[in-house]
Amino acid sequence: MPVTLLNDLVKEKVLAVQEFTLLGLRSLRSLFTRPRYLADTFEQMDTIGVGSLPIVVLASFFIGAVLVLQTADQFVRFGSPGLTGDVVSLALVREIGPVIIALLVAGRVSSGIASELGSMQVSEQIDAMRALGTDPVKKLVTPRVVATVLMLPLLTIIGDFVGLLGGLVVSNFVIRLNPLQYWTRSYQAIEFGDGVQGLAKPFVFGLIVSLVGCYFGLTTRGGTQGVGRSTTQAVVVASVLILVSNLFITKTVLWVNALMGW
Amino acid sequence: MAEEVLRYDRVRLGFGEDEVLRDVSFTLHRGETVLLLGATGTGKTLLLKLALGLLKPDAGRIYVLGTDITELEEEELFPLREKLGIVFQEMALFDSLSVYENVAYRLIEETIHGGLDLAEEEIERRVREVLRFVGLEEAIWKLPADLSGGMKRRVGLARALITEPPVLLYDSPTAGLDPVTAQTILTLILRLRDTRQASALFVTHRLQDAFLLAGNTYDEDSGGLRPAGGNGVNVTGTRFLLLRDGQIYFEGQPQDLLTADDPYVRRFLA
Repeated sequence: MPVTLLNDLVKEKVLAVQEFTLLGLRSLRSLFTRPRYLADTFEQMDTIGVGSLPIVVLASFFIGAVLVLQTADQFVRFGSPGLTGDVVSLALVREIGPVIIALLVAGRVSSGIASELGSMQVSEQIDAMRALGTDPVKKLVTPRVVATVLMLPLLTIIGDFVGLLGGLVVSNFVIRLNPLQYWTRSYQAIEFGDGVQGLAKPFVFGLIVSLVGCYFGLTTRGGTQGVGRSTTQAVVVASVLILVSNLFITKTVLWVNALMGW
Repeated sequence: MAEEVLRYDRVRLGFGEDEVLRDVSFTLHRGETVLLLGATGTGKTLLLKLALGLLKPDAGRIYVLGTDITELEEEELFPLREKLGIVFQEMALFDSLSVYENVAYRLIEETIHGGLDLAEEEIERRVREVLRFVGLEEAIWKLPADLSGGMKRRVGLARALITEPPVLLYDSPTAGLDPVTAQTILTLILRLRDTRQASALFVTHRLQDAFLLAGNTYDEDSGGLRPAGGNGVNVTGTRFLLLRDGQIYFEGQPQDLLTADDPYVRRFLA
């Protein structure tokens, strides 16, 4: 009996991966076939991008600020507080900015998408849409995927900038570091390869955030309780996938950077 | 014999170990109304979803207007779905869209993305016309959340009717409604049947609804119902199917059902 249960569990998980992959492929294929829902895409860009801006700005400011507090303390011990800007900017641009912002957006967007599509699923609105001749993947999934993939890199750029500003404020008022020195070192520490790394990640994370939300939303079963379950699962799975994929993207980009001499 | 509009040929469907439909075969002809009766959980709604291609059968074939839809891809099904209108049991109205947008949904989609070339005024005229048909023109700009259960059903009916499909699928359209509202919905369905000769597959577990549809016609003069008459002959083109344990247990005219001496049928009628 336990073997059968394990067998069923594995099959279920493999099927879920297969369905998730197929959903991703169908949403990407929809980009190249008509009809294209541009108005829905712009609406989603507003909801996902502009809607996430306040939380991203607020969180990034304080992350940058606290990073300066933590790192400056170490550099002061070695008598080189001026290096704070280098470390903070590299950490923000390469790693902390993309990951933390993606996790924040996952909490807001993956859950929002999963609950919205999940509610539509359990109230038969998705079936109604199909019955009325509209492909839900084209109408609901592709606009959300495109909007998130385009908006997350922009949010990351803004978040990185605001994070550096947060660091600037703390370095000036708390550590008494020269703001110009901090800003110049922060700016000069970033090389092209760092930018590539910092901007490659949000594209992949955007795909994860939106597709995971759509997948759990469209596979919701079991009424309002099911919607709650899907919403939670979407956030958890998206967050874990972001952290796991981050390792592989980092390794790949470092390899590419070394290869290209960036 | 009239043209076939819908045919189920030895259809089987299950979920996991549980087989819900087992070898279901029947045909709906043009102008005919087939009433699908049966206890809850016997697979009546599944038959409607199968006709739309929203679900795929595990075995057997389904023909819609002569086309075998069993193996068709989602995109290939869209043109056929335009010829089918469905009223969902839970209404399935888009809750973030107004009544107007719900009813006009198909026309707007077809105008923006399809081959239709309708001006906004023309869409509104058609929406108002169909809302007038279901007696809800005054609710055109309301949201579904502001409507009662009966009003939502009528909006669902209007949405199904906007493109005047030749085949209509009703999934328990009177379930959970008070007798007066249920009568209003049934009168509209009879009006549709008798004035537009639409073919229909009507799922219900309410016997009174089934016999009302089978025994009455729409009276255009009074706007109400009148007994169909016919001295025992089925003049309304109505046929009954009784599902039991995923199979068709009884198939026949209304009077056959009433005179059947099968114990299960008698118990169902009681």
